[in-house]
Amino acid sequence: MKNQIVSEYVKYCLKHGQAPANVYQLCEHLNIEESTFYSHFGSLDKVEESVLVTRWTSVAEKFAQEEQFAGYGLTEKMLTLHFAFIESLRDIRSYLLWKFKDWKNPMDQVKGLMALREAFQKTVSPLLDMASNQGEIPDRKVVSKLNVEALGMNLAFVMHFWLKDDSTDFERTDACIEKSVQLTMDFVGRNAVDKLFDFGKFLIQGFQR
Amino acid sequence: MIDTQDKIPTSKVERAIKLVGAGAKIGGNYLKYYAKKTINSDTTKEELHANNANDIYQSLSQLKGSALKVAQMLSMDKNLLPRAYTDKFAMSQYSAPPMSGPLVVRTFQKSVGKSPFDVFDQFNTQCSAAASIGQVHQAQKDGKTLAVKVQYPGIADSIQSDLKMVKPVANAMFGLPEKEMQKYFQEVEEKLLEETNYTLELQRSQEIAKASLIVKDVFFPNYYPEFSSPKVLVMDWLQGDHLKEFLDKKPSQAIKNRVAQALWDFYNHQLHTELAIHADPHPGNFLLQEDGRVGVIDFGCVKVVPEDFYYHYFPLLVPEIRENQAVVDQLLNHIEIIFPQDSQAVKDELQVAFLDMTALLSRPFESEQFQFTHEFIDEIYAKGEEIYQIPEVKRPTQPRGSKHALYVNRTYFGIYSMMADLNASIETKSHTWSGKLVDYWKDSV
Repeated sequence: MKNQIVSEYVKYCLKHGQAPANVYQLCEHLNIEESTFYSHFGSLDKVEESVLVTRWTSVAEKFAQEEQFAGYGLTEKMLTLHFAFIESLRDIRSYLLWKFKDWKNPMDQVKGLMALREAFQKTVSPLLDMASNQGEIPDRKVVSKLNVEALGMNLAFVMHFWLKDDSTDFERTDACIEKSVQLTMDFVGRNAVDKLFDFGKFLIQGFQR
Repeated sequence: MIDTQDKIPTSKVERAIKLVGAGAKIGGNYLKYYAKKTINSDTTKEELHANNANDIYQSLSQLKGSALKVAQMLSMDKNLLPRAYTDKFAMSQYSAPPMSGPLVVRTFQKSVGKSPFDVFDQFNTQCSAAASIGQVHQAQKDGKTLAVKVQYPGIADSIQSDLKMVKPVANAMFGLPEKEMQKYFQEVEEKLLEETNYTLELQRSQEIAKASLIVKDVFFPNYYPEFSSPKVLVMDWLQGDHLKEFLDKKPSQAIKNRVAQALWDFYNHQLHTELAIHADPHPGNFLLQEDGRVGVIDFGCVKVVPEDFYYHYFPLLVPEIRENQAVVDQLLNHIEIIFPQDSQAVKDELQVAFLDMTALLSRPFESEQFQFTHEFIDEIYAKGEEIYQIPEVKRPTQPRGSKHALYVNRTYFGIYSMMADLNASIETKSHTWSGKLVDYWKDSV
């Protein structure tokens, strides 16, 4: 039922060119009692959030079970999640184009994306911790908390790019994911900054001797 | 510390080094990357050959990606580029940054409709080799080793946008307005875009392989249409060495001659019997065997030679036709070397130059055996330089030369170079085609 409410919500928006004004309207469209609705969602806003969140969680859960995925490095994992998530949005592209028609700058905080961000962090934080524990990426203490933010911004950036992309089969989005994720991962991973700190530490220790 | 470093996958480290592309325009193309590398790396202007190199270098350094390839094609035809330069270009086509494993899997899945892990018993996400517009992965199925070629996403789009850049530069390079160069651009653009269609490549590979079965010592992989798509091409994994590695193993001259003979016969068969040639004689497309046989792969670039062009271009290789002024006039007009409105002085000068060059190029056909050497190649280059000094060639009043000659010349240029690298002595006279060319022109004189 939950999934049905979400998909009928999307249909309603596309059909009427606007979101249902109240729960009653949606329930009438669904042909269900309003009371049934509340046993699944607290409000229409929650339904709207679910459109993206359910897609993200189903992608994340699918890969969590795959053996192939577990063997990947962090970059490969991030790439795979990005590719799969964007792919999962294909059948609601019209809805998203309508929903995000006023989304001009990819760095803007858009209302519909907040819940997705939380879901994203819930999936990605453990992956980052694991990579950090295994030494794949450096532990930069407080600064490391920014990693998940950076990757979240990357996802928003890619979504924004995809919404504007009109290449066949969204090939340019594929290239965009490949390049942007790798670039972000270069910041997250061990890079020149770590070497600089390491070298600085070495010099200071040398003077103290 | 050492311990943790060890855990970083090597692929990631390698990729971080290669990820110069990060600075490039996002969603832009992979080709741009190597173009810059070609221009900016160790080749300095001082190293460039001869007096005319400077201005060409200037023009070329403004170019990127496939635009560079177009310029290269056009220049090669006009013998504009010094030798050191063409060698570098040959390299440049084969060093795009690699695609990540997930992108390869994704592209395969999108294009074929199934995951490569479902289709094959084993699929290696690490790329085994770079192809010009994609990369090759190894896979296993039913005990067979397969080569899976996967194309970079968005490559066709970026070729088109790159080509837009080349046009204004042509003016600087050839002293001709871009409108007049249009026919050459069109030819190269068509070929480059064809290369992005693996379905076409599959079909041609099968056709040419079938038609060339009769050529001794040449063989081809089997292709698997059921796993292929416009962006994925699956074939048998062929063992063998590229020319350089092959030569490093110091094979005997007899083996080298066998390789050379196979290549020579293969190309003559394609051109004179099939009128369609594998127009990318890059050493990477030939897998040389220890016993001297040759595996041929990559039929992305095939030039179909129109019959009309064939009967007006190749007769010049036959000495007796070359001596017949009436026919020569007709031929040179047809292949757009000489135009009716040219002054007699220009006509004479161009005819002498062109026939001299042709005589030099057809030297291998005029004896039973021919010994290819680097001296012979240098002689061709020197002749090219000499011809370039003719004012009408250096700053032409109109574009000269048929567009069909572009890929044909490039192909033979590549083969002659490989022959010289093999120091080959081969049988060249045993050809049957000169008869049909003589017959064609017999009555019209």
